[in-house]
Formats: sequence, C-alpha cells, structure tokens
Amino acid sequence: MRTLFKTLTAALLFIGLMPPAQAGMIATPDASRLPAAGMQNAREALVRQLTDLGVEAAEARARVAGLDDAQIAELNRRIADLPAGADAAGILLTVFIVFVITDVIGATDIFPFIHPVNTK
Amino acid sequence: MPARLLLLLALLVLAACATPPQTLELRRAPPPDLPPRVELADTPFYPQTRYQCGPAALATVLNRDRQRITPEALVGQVYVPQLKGSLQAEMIAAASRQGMLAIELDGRLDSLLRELAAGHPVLVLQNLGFSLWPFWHYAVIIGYDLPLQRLLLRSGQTRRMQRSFALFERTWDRAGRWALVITDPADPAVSAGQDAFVRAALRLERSVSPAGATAAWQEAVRRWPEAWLPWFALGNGLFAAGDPAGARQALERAVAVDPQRADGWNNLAWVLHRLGQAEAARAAIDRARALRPSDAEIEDSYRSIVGD
Repeated sequence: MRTLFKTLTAALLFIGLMPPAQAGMIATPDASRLPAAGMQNAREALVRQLTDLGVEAAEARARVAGLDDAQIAELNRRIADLPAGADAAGILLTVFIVFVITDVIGATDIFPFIHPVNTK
Repeated sequence: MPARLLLLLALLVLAACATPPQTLELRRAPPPDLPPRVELADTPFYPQTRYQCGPAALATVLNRDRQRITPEALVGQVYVPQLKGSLQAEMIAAASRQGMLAIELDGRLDSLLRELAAGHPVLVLQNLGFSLWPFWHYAVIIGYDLPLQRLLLRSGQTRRMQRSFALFERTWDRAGRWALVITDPADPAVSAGQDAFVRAALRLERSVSPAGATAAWQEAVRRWPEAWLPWFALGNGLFAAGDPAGARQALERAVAVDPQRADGWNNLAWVLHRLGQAEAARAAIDRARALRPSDAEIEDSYRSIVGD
C-alpha cells in the first residue's frame, strides 16, 4: 500500500512537472507554411464525402483528423478518381480471357498464378 | 475488326517486351553498395479477403516487429465501402494513428532496394491492369534478388510472390510509382527526401502529439543539420515532453541556422523564460519583435515574458 502510494505520488509529481502546452509557443505546423485558412470547412466537407461513400460518421471524423492539409485538399478535389486498392475478383469471363492473354505477355499482372513468357 | 484486335495485341506485345527504363538502368549498372540478395523473411503475412488488400498490406508492415493492430481493425480505418478499396492518404493516416512514421518514397526502383537492404519492407500501390482499365492493388515488397532481377512480395493471397523487376516496374509505373515506408519514428526510411520526411513527421505530430515525433526530428536534424524546421520542431517537441534544457539547445540551433525566422526567436524566448533566464529571454523576444513588428502573437509573448 505504501509503495503504491509512493508510486502514485511520483506519477502525480511527474505529471505536475510536465509543462502544459505553452500558450505563447508557436506550433510547428503553424510555422511550416502549410495553408491553414479555411481548412476547417475543407475537413468537414471531406467527412461528408466519406460518409456518403459508406464510412461511419465517427470513423470518418477520426480518419480526417489524421490527414494533413494537402491531403485533405486533394481528397476533396477528386476522391472518386483516386486509386483505391481492391482486387481482381468478379471479372467477367470475356474480360478474364483478355487479361489472361495480357498477363501471359507481361503487359498486366492480374492473376498471381500466371507468369509471363517474357520475363526480361 | 479482327485486324484491329490483332494490331492492338501486337502493340501490347511490343509494349510488354520493351524493358522499362529503371529496370534497364539497374541491369546496366547495379548499385555496387547494395547486397545482391535481401529477404525480410520474418515479415508477417495476412492473406487478404475480398477487396481488402489495403488493410492486409498495411497490417503486414505495421506488425513487422510486433503485433500492433489486426487487418480487421484496420478495415474500419482505411476501407471505403463504396470505392471497394482504400485510399493512399488514408493508408498513411492510419499508420500515423499507430504512432508510426509513414514516409512516401521518391518513385525510384533503387530506393525500394535501399529500403529493403536497411531492413524496411515497402508498401506499394500497383495498377495490375491498364491505365484505362485499372486494377488497383496494394502489396508489400519484402526482398529482392539483383542477379536474377526479381522482387519478392507479400501480395493478395500469395505469401511469397516473385516478380521480375520489369513486370513490377510496369504495374508500379501505372500507379504513379507510389511507395511507402512505415517504421518506428527512430528508424526512418533511409532514402527519404527532406520534404517527404518533414511532412511525415508533421503528420505524426498531428496524430499523436508534438512529443510523439521527437525521435523523428532527432533523426531529421542529424540528416539535414542546415535546415531550420527540424531544429525548430525538435525544440517544440522536447519542450512539450518536459525537457526545456534540450529544447533550448535545439531552438538555439534553429535561430543560428536561420536568424530571420521570428517563430524561432519567439519559442526560444519562452523556453529561456521557463528556465528562469530572464535576460536571455528578453533578448530573444526582442529579436522576434524586430523581425515581425506589431505581430499579435509575438506582442502577447513579449507582454507575458517581460511583464512577469
């Protein structure tokens, strides 16, 4: 019990010694010349876009919080056109045959089991 | 019509046979400082379920040294249901949320090899189809063989996929040659450019805390001692972590590197003030005021520091 008390006191002292984020200090992102004005609106717009695409609202906000301003701007501009990694399941049969051929000649790499004849 | 189709196929064959430029360069002049073969065999493997190569690839690199997060938990952080896939920016953000430093590489094939030689698996985006008919796919490169001109990947449902440099370069080139190295902040990507490094460290600060990126800034000042921002950021991080003496040293380097940045003088003044160095603090805030007269933030600092 006594040891626990000591540990707690030490922990509290440690927390007490940590300076709070100093009000007058200029934060690194503010000094790094990234555009900041109007970003709040851009963030909210992106949260809406993500929820429209099926992401849960709380999760959309958490995701957007981790993006920097340049990323927010790009996603807002063309979220639907950006690459989104998926997989090759669900290809139609005719397309399947075309891709088997292009895989064999090494132009594409859709099917992991096909190795191109020309492995230069 | 069949003639046209034949022509198209012929063109495709020609395009496929041409060796892509970076592969050619590596074949002509393999970098002499790189080991001939590397395989990071202890990299974990998470076979992807439908559409979810993003979470699987991300878990592969995030859990390289120890289990941090499962692919299932990552689905919620990076998967976008209607796009049936994951966006690059969100892959980066999810790594930052785990307290990891995620740096985008420069698009060079030899940079990928350099990272592998340094023990870093590389997350890549590929377009396995055509530019007009894309099949986007995330995979993780875990090794290479220079004499055989091959890469080793954890990809989709394949634990150890082998692909020639040439075929990989084609599918990678069609996806904008995007590659990401995700590491502990103390061990950042060795091939990183300064801008990509700084952006990654700033994202980490945003996601975790200024103190959480301190190890990354330590490495940044070692690599680019003549750059202002890393010294400034390191000073802020150390101060937030409760080390004003270390913060002072870093901010003194910042103002020495670029004495024209008022931000550096302003923060140095606060740190000196905290350390009880009233005279030095005053001198520093005077420098800031001279550089940015009648700036509201700096005038506030001046009143607080000199006032009490």
